[in-house]
Amino acid sequence: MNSSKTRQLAWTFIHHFTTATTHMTRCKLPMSYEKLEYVNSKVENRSYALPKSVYIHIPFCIRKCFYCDFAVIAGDSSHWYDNYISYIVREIESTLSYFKRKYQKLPDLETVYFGGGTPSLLPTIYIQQILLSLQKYINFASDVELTVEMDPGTFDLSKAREFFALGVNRVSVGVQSFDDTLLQLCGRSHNSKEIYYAWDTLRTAGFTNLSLDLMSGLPNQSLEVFKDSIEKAISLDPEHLSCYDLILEGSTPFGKKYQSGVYPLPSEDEAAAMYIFASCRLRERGFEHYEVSNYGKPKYLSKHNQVYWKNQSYYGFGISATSYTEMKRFSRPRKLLSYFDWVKRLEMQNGEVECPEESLQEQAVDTLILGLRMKQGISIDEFEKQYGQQVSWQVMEAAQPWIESGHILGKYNCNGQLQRIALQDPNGFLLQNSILISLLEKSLWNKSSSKYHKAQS
Amino acid sequence: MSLFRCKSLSQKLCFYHWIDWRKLCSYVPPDIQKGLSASQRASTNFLSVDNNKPVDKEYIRNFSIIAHVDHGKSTLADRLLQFTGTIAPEKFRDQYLDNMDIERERGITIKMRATRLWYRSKDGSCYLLNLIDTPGHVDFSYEVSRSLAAVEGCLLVVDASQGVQAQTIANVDLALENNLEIVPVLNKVDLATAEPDKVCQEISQVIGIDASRAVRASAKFGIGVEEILEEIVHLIPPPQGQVDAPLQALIFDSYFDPYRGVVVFIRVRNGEIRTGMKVKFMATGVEHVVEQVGILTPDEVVRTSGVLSCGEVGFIKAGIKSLHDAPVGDTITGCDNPTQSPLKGYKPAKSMVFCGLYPADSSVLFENLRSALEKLSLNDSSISFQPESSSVLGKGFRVGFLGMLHMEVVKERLKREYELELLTSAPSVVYKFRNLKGEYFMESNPSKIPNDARHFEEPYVKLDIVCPDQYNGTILDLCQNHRASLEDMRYVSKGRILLKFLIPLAEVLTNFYDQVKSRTRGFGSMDYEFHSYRSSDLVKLDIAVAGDVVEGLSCVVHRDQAYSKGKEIIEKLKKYIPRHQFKVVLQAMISAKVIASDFIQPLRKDVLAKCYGGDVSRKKKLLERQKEGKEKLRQLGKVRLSPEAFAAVVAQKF
Repeated sequence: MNSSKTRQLAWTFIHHFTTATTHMTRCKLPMSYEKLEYVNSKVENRSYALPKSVYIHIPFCIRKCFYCDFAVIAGDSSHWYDNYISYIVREIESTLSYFKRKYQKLPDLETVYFGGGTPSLLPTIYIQQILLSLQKYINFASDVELTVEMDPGTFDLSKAREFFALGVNRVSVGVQSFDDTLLQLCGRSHNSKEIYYAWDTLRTAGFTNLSLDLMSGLPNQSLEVFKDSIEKAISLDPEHLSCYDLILEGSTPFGKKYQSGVYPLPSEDEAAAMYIFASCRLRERGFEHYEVSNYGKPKYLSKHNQVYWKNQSYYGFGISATSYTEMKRFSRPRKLLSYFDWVKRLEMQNGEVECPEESLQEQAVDTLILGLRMKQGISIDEFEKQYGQQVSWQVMEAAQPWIESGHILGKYNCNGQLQRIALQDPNGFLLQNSILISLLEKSLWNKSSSKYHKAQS
Repeated sequence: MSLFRCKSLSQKLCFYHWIDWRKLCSYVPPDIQKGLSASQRASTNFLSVDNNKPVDKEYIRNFSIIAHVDHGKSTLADRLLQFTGTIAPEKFRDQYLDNMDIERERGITIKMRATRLWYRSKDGSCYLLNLIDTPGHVDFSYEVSRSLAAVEGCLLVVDASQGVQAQTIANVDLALENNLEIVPVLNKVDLATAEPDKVCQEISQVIGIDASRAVRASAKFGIGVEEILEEIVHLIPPPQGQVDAPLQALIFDSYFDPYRGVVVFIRVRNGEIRTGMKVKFMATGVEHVVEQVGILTPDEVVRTSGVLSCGEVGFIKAGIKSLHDAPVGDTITGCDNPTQSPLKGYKPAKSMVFCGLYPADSSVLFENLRSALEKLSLNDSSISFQPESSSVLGKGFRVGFLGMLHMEVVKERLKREYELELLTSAPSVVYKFRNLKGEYFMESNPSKIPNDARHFEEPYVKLDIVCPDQYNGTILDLCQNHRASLEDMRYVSKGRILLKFLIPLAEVLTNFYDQVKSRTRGFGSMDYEFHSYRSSDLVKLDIAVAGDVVEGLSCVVHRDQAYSKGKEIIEKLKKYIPRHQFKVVLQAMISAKVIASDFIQPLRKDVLAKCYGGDVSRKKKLLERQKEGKEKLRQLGKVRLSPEAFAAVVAQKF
């Protein structure tokens, strides 16, 4: 154990040292000795940065919703199940065996997330296969959070019980709205009755951590209709609630049909009013608004999703899934057949993903973008430790006008030094993109580094 | 057009047919030779002409063609060129004399052109006709007046279906001022709607010249061309002047050639001009040695004999480097035997409309714009410009134009010939005003007019509108809304009226012409010319965006219109300015007193709702795109807006 740890340390030391230096010479950032030291000191932290989370993408759906641009296979596709799951298992095995070979001991998994698509469409046997293949290489922590997305109308009590028996302890239910006309308009495959049925079924099956997804800013959705959905959601007493403002994607039927802020979509002001209502009402009911679109009862915040926002590493398996391992952010092919080919190639490369590592600067950008999505925001101290004093100062300076305008909440220590910055709820959250751009423009995206950035992409 | 082609083809066919026939018979009977059409007579004549020899002035006729726009001036010129065999058939193209790209595209004449035609008339003698083609559009009436000063007579072309139009009257007035012989021609008699008798009556009635002899022609089909030439020969007097008198030559045009320097087009009134002669430009006092003289056929042909004699039209080259040394309208005389009195010149063209031209983005340097304008003004002396800087648009030029069409043409030429993308500020006129101390100022840039300016005066123009009388009411209404006062109203013929107004030039600059056209269903025509400066109750309207007065948006308006104009600008700004993080207040003010205001709500929502594992890189790309868009934005006071919106706002083209 001891010897393996030393080896691991040595490797990460060399690894980080080289990336940091090459990046900085390319960037022409002034390189100070303190910075070198910090790189050394960071090694200790980083050596434990092996993923403790897994995301598995199950693309099958009864039909594709009109706003959805995920990699989804809609319609009857049960003939693909066997094949697809076998490739996922192959990918898991070759990836994890690579990590096992390289690091000997892998940390216990803390979260596993089955997303989609509609994972609840799959017979539980397939979920079991996947979990078993994971367990071959990696232990599950005793308090592992095992989430499955389940849509109303795709399961009954016996299936819910099977999931529960498998160890699934958190279910995210795609409700979107309690208004039947809206559900139909969005191309959802269920109605509001089925929502209540699904909810009762899950509770009966024994689930004590349920999450509910809602959407705002839908076509023809008035503030009243949205308020009604929120109240109905509250009456179901979920432990966790996600409430997303509609994002128009060009490739979707909605994206082709509608224009943001233009009728029948609610205007910018109306959509903002919905967001503000959700934030105020849910906080009033004891939810913590811990991320832009996520609310949870205390102790029921999504552990898995926080991994993303804290910019920690995670495994990803299945089509279109993204993984973030060894500082490599990699997205898998979005098409079924090209994914199969890719898995075969992965096996030939002994499970190592071919993808450039994120530069220190990119990591800093990610940390900022993701960290500011959360209520807790970013610790200036940690940011400075990881990415250097210069960048951290630039960010602080750029944040100043926003603090004054009440969009950013600054937390100071007793010496009057800024310790933490976070977006104000709800004003700051609503303007997140504008705020991020202004922060990045004055720090990480200043001229010399943005050029570098472009060359990379 | 295609009809015309058929016709000319058939003409050609006839001609070739005749040749073939002659070849076949290899014998030309004398009666057929006698019956040669005039075109063959002329072209045979043309071949034997020696361009180098001066022509006896008894056989010279100098004339130009005047007409309302689109009455067929350039087409008639084409026919004259073809008929007299001036241009070889294979070289011919429509609107031969219009050789600027813009002219050919828009079907308008911008620059006048001169050419000589040889014509053997029915009486058997051979005449040299010097034709000066002129532009028809209002903006270029200055060019018309220049060409009229160089000739003895003119063809007045009137569309037989449309009758006398506003510019017909304006041009005839110009011709009468110059004591020219006017030869009326009724064009387009082939049209089904042609009413030649009625139009003849109109000409007699409105213009006061006898139109009973007017040639009924169709330039499109070449009908009546020979009659027109006969009329020219018989009605237009030969040039006056003495060959042995001291040299007097009028400069009626000039242009700058980068390889040859300034080429000056002249009409010799008295005496003769020779190569090697030392000449003096009387207005500027500059002296030059003539290097080349030549004639226009319409290509420039250098005369080896080196003489241009009394009554002739041609060009000279004398190593002149700047157009300002040889201003149009000046008189050239010999240094050895100078004339005492210069010819009556004409007033230099006065810029009526001004606007700021600025590089559209910083990649186009101010210096490039300067050199482009300088080069352009070498060929178009009616452009005036001076550097100007604006806090909104940066460094640029304030450029004066003859009118709106001229402005468009210049902008188009800058874009095409010099590849400059430009932003223009709203066009304005030159205002006269006094400050508190009573000192007089003239300024065209509204943002430079101080807040204490008072006693405004603005240029008024005489506006003539000719239209069918059923549109009388709507035109009167339009003019009333544009602060015009009716001066005169009379019937041109049964059912058509001529309305004369005095109207501020600034009112005509906007979309007035389009309004006239649309209100009269296209039947109305208008023409205007500068009248005088008159005092007006004008105020300077400032526009403040987010609390700052944006100088590029200021304008001068009549007090009665201030509120509606202010409201209008603000509404348009509201449309174009995107939401900002703060509330943007828009105000229209007269010397710091707000008369209209509105605001733009602050940005409410700019957030990506979902961001999970797979979305990180996408989100980053999205932010980068958003940032790139932001970098392109232009600053307008405290607010930023897209380049397109910015251009629309500063040009106040909404």
